[in-house]
Amino acid sequence: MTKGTDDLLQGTLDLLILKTLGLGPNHGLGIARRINQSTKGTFHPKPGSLFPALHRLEEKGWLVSEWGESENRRKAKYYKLTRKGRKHLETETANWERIAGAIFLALEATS
Amino acid sequence: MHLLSRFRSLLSNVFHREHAERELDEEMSAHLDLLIDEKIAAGLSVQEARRNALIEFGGLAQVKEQVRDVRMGALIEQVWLDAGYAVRILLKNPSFTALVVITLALGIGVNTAIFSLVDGILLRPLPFERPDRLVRLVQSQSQLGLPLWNLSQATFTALRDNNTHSLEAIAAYSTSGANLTGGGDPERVSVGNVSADFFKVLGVQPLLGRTFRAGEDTPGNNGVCVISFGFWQRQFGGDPNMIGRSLNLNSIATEVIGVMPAGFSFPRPETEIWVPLAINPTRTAPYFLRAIARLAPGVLPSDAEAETTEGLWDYARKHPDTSEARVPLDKGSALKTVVTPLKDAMVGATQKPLLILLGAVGLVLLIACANIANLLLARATSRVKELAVRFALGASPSRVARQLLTESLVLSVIGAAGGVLLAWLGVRMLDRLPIEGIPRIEGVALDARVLTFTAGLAVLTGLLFGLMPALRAYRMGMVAAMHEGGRGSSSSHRANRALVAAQFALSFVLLIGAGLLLKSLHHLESVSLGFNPDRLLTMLISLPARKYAKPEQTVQFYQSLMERMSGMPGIRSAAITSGLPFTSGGNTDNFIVEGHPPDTAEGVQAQLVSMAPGHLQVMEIPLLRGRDFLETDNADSQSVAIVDETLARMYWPDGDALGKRVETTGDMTWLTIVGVVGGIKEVGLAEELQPHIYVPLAQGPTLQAQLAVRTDGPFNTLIGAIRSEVSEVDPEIPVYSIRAMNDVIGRTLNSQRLTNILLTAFSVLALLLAAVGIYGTMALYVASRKKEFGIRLALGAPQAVLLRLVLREGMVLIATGVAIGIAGAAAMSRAIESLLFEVSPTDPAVLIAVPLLLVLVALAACFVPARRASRIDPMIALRVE
Repeated sequence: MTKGTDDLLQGTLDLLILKTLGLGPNHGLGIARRINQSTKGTFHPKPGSLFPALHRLEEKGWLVSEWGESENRRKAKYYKLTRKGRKHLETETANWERIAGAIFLALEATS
Repeated sequence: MHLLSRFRSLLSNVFHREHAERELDEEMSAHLDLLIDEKIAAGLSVQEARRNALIEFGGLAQVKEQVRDVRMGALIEQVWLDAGYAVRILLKNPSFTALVVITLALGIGVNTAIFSLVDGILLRPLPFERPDRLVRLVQSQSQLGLPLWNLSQATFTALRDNNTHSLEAIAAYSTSGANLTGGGDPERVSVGNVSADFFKVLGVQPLLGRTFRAGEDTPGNNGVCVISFGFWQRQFGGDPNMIGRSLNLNSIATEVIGVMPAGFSFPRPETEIWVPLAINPTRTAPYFLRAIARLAPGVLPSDAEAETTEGLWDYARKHPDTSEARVPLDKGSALKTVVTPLKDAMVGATQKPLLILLGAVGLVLLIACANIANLLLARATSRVKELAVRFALGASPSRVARQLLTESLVLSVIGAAGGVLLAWLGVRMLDRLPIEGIPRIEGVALDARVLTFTAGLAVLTGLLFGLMPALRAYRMGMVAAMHEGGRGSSSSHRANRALVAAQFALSFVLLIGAGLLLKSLHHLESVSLGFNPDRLLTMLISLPARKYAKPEQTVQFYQSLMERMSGMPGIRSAAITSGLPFTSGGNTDNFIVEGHPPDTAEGVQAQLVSMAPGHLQVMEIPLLRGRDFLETDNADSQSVAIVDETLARMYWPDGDALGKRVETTGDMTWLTIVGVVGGIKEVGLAEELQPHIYVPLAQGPTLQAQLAVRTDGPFNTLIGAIRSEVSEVDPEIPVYSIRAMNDVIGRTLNSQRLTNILLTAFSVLALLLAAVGIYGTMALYVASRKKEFGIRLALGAPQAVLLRLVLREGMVLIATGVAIGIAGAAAMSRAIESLLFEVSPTDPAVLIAVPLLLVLVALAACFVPARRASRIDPMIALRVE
């Protein structure tokens, strides 16, 4: 298992969660593993930040949750993106790309 | 049942605290299980996998705590957002908002004001040590017509020295006044005459000095006094060296040994000086003492009553010549002590009217809530579109319901703020109401306790009137979610009508209560007094016993005062007497009638009055037979008496009282009856007439005299003139308790008057609210059927038919309300039966007048919408929508 960091900006984690769920419903552990994989081990969200983030997103109406069964027939709570959440993901992705691009440019320029 | 389950599901959705907590637990453990599975799949043993999973997960409690924080934060944010949204919505409908807020402010305001009375008078503990253990002890000799009777010095001593186990300590008290001289104008101060243990029983420590020691309440040792904080400040500017100074009380030098802390005033609110009683254990009469006692731990008042009653019987057996011994001592004997919790004894008759008022304002608030619920329902119909849009945008039913409830709570909080303002004004205006003589009224204030009550009330009313609209929105959201569509305007109208009928039922109950009490007060006020109280000024004069030791001296004083006053302008006539009615200045005693067995079982007591010649004319008490007293009826002539008709009828129903003789038990001289006068009310308007025996002032001199002055001019200018005449005769004699007789009598009615003023005001308020309610409902009814009415008019229906149709609709509501109200009114009349005077709870006049009034008011309220219905322009009506 690759060493990763949990020091995520709140907005970053939220965005990563939304992105992950954009691929389909998943449970908490699944989301964490997925983020870890897709960032090639850079991010390793722990329950202490993952669960508050999931509940916050649910309160905002971007996610809904329901109980389901995992691949190995375990009971698990699955999170799913709402329509509102999907829209938010789109705007946030666009925002992020703009900011990331800008910061990248800025860093290039000074070095 | 259906409604109840819907209500429960709404609540669990709005406040799904417990459910959320359980779900969070499950989610955490499911996550842990998945982690363990993963480790096992990676080849670890079950135990290892478990350990590693727990380490990786981190602190379970912390994670849960963080999630809870997020949820809480979201909830607070949401409530805040909802409240902001609610305020914006309410501001958009200023007239609706104003109507609701005013209605609520009135409803909550009257409740806050009345609760402040109930709290200040009934609920707040007395300012003494462990006040719930304090009791008042008096005796009862029911067979002698004395359900509550004071103790004599001998009875009190016997009870005190009886070694009673159920009482920790017992003390006696009575009240009097004293002339304070030696510093400027003579002044009359209110005195508490108390036994040595008085302060010990109450558990109150002095601010300065000490209180009384054992033995200081015996004759010859009682030349000391304790003063109140107010008196200390007022008379001595709070002199720190007060202890040891001397006061001239009734021309006797009395040493101040203690100063009580601020706020201590017992037995009377105006008591300023406490002097020890000079208890003589051999005096078996008169009966002028009451006792306070502290119950031993774990003892109930009824236990103490049983034990002290034993003691009283013991006393009666040892003293066969006392009034106590005249009651047969058997199992159901009427001779007993009466032990009452001190607060109940002080508050007494005020309790019931206050609770009735509290009930009345509760009903007013219910009516106000019904009105607001009605308004909200009406508005909900017009908000259907707004809600539909919100549901379509994905708002959950519980979310919208919560938002509507928040709106109601915002309204109720604003209304409560207005209510507190109204209550504050009300409590400030309390002084203008007839409150004198109502116990503990000085402690009434709008404080934190009352405000807490109001805050609770605000939340409760907000939930009460907000629930129905919230439930409807919730159901509408559920229906919308099932894609069924549809609206519930017919059921809305049904709910509306039910609320209006309920309002009229409640108003009916209140109006019946107010009607009965008003009629009862009217009866009381028109009771014949037996004398004329108009333009009659009364005042008190006390002669100190030391200076006026000989009866001739007092007679001399009164005569010279009368001579001076007879020539004064503005005074038509004036006379001196030992006791005027309604001033509790009289003297009650047993008496013997010649030719009748002395110990008649009735044990009738008569009011003994010494009066100067001319008193009957001043009071306008009619002389029925015989003659008035003359100047020649003096100490040297034959002892004479005048009796009233009440007494004469008792003993000589057919014959003539003139020439017969009576004897009062006090002195052993036979008094020959020379006149018979009309009976007068002595203590209260509702009381039966008591027999009176009048004796000439010269034959029955008194140190404390009352002056009755029939006036021509205004009272104010006379009072100063009379004061200066008195001081001309003796500068050390103060004139006090100067009052118009009508005020003195009115004071006995204050409790009833206050109850009536308030209850009437509340009933009128209720009726107005109900009228607004029915007006709104009928207006809505007409508006919803505008199209139909338009068509009917277009087809040629006469206007009168539509007018009648709408009025009939209104009348059905009122009739329903009144029918329900009759059941409530029956309960109400039973509750107030004991407060009624010569009015039956089913008084026909009230039972006819009230429904009539309701119908008239309702008709007037329905008439406007009805007329509108009959004037609808068919063309405009058909073009609507």
